[in-house]
Amino acid sequence: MPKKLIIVLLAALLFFYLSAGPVFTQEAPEEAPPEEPFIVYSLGQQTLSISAGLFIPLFFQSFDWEYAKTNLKLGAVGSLQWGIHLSNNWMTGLEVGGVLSKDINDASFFMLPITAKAAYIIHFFPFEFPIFVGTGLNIVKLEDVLNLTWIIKPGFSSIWKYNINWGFGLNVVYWWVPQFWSDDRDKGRMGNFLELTLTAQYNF
Amino acid sequence: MKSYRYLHGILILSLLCIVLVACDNTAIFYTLEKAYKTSDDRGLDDTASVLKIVYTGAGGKYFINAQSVYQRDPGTTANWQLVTPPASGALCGGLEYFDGDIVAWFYNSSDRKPVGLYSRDPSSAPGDPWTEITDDSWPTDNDWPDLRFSIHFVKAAGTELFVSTAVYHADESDPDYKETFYNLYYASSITGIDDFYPCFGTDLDSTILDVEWDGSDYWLITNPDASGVYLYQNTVSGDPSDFSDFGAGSPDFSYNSDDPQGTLYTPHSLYFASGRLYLSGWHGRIYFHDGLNWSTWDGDPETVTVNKRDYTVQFRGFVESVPSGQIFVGSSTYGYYSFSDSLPGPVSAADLTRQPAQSLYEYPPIELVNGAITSFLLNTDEDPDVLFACTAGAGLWRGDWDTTKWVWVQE
Repeated sequence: MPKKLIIVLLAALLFFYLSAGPVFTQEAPEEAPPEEPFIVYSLGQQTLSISAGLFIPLFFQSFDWEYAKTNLKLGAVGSLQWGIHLSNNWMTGLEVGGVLSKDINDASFFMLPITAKAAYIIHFFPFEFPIFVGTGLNIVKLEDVLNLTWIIKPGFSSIWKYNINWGFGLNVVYWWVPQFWSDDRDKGRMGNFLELTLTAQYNF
Repeated sequence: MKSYRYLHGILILSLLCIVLVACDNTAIFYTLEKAYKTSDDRGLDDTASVLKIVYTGAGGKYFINAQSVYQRDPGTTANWQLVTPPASGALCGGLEYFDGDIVAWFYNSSDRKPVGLYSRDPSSAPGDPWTEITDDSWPTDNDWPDLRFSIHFVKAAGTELFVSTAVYHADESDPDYKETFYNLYYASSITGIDDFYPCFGTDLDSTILDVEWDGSDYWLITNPDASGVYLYQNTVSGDPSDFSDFGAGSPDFSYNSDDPQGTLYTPHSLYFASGRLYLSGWHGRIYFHDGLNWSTWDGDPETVTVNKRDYTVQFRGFVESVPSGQIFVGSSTYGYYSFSDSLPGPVSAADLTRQPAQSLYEYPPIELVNGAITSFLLNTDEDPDVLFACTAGAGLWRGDWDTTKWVWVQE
């Protein structure tokens, strides 16, 4: 199942790439005009995004730098994001996500990160490549046990601009979730996870 | 606009406070890292109620009574196989290994009428037939509608096989007449015909719950009768043919107004280990006989607090966990408890530890923490040692000894 999904994601990327080809071909002028910055966004423009896809547990790491498996299964992740553009390249925003997974004994595992996000967008029409980092609080739940942690989510996206309002693409986000445990430092762990999601964004 | 901003801030802070207050003192990532797979599927239903497991000795097999009888070879790969019952629809009501045979009591699943007492060679194939054990000592004529015969348990103790019987009488001409008579029968060997003799010349009017051998004497417990009598000892040491009320000095099963509401004053099991005869009670107390006297319990019963209310722990069967130097005792709702087998006690709730002792999610299976554990079986013939825990509704669990603790998996 995961292999199939990864193939679908790669196929989607390939589709975006191929569909972009004719655009360049058709619109490329015979003589290249002088290079000018391509302006898509201006201060105050907003973006709403919805993303859904795979949550891949990578590993736990102790604060003594020892690695261990997470004993979590492949999960599902989804998120909603609101952003406001500061310029053509810079955007800031908020994101609320959710992860659903199971451990090896099928105990339910949830994470609910609420993060503030900053992104730098590289334009390559009709593509955009936002590079971003988000940080905030993360509610973690295993069956009926609840923890609150800090989270950092660096990542990048590939967005194909369908038109001036809509864009579709792929997010690759690394989740770094340090869980400090003051009661017993030996129980502190850093959770490392990967998010692979398809996304749709609307600009207004 | 400013007030809205304050309102948002207050809302966010409130939400944060709620989450912080709700946080548990269990590190989830650490817990997940320590998790191990608690399933070792050997073909049993994970929701089965397993009443008893027996082992037929080195080179032999395990048999369980999960209403149906299953058998499997020892080892790390063998699966459970259903043993064909002696009649279609027959359910097992008691199982024991005695004198080289598996002995089992069966009743009809539809009307609970007796099917009979049967034996089989443990080395026989699962589909091989059972051999009926007949005995003139107890009524077996199911066609008589005013009488119902059943066997409450089958147990080997000392050199004998015991069966606890109940005969229900009614009279069609007198609707008010309903009586049940209880007795215990013993047999020194199983030939299949008239092997059993009564332990009481006159039937009792209380259910016989358990019987045990303490190395020199036979003991048995019943539901307390109208006079509070529940504990019997053989009249002649080592002779199961007659029992008498132990009388003064019996452990206390009388009502105690200081106990939590709903406490039941009923004994459950006898178990002999390390020179002591242990007695468990549904009133949250455990007693032992050291060869001279029965112990007394100091203070409150063992309780578990749920939603700020105390519940008395109903203790059930014992086992000696030899590798850990402990005695385990199951309970009806709260998993199992332990006490050291070298303790002078247990004489109070402080001597008991709820097991598995590590905190929840680190990573004992919850079925063994909040479940009903009906009985245990320790087998030190296997390598590593294994300890089985039979549960009500949560299947059969096997503990593999890892040199420091039992690592539980569900079969």
